[in-house]
Amino acid sequence: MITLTGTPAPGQELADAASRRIDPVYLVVVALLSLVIVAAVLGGFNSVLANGRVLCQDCIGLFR
Amino acid sequence: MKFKRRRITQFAALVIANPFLIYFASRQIYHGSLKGVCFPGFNCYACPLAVYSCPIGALQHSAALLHQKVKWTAIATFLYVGGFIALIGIGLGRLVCGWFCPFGLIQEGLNKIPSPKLRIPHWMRYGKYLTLAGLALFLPLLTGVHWFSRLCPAGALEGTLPLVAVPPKGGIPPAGWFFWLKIGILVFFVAWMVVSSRPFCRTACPLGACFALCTPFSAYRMHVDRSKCDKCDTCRDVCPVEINIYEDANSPECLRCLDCKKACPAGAITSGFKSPLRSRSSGDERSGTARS
Repeated sequence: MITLTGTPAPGQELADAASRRIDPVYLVVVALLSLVIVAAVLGGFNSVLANGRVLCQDCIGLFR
Repeated sequence: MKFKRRRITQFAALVIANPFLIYFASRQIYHGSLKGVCFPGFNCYACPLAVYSCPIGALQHSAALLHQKVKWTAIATFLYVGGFIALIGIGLGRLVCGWFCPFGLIQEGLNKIPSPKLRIPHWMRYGKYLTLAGLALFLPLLTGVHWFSRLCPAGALEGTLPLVAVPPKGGIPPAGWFFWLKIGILVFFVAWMVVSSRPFCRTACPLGACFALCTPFSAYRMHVDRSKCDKCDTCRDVCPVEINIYEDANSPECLRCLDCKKACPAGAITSGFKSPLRSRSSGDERSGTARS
């Protein structure tokens, strides 16, 4: 927002600077990283680990 | 003999994904904690040398858990694996397919065999989305069975054949008709890989489909400076997926192999990390004030 005198409104410079620095893509990356960590802690990691430790009968096509 | 940087990276990824040589002595697959982590490329976790899980195998596992009504674990697994795939996709897009995927390396190697080369019809690219939705998500959810793994040619090449050749302690069950179906699918794709460039990635890979959905929004981006580009099609001639990069620099089909960037005689193609929102608003991808 610019005032009638042509100078930025109070706080506008700070807001502009912040919007230049924080990119939405990086926010998405941080959000996804947080999601992955939380889901891993809540059982996702152990579940994938348990699945990976068993020799995948489906993968080798020799399932009973 | 001069190796390309990309080829070295692909070989390094192959070794990083499959370093468990102790298998040949112990005849036991790796059971350590790394199996709780997914490898970002397409590498079968039934491979006796693999130390990471396959992201698509893990995704099917979460869908199969939902079928078994293990809801909380299934949701946590889905968010963990889905979040991981989305994280890699948003960060790098299909750069992973071009630089880190072990199965992509195998396909490129097979395509070097001298033979008549065939183009892949454009419409076949939708096959990979069908595979992702149908075989990797919907059918496992409905039946509790990892249907994509049962048919996966990467599993046949990296898991089935090595395990049949060097069986684990305790042996493996005898082969049934599904085994031969799986080998038949592998033979079909191997033959196709010889005559076409990257056919599995382009038509059937569910992981490629996930990354393709993220690529238009990924932080790693291609830029084409249209003021320099004279549409000589040199980029199309070297492109392994036969796209016109000057028409859509961030096409979901682009593997980010960067061969076009090297080949462009005008130096019009650049790449690097940049916000998709900013590159669109500044018009980089349309009018082409590109930068690396």
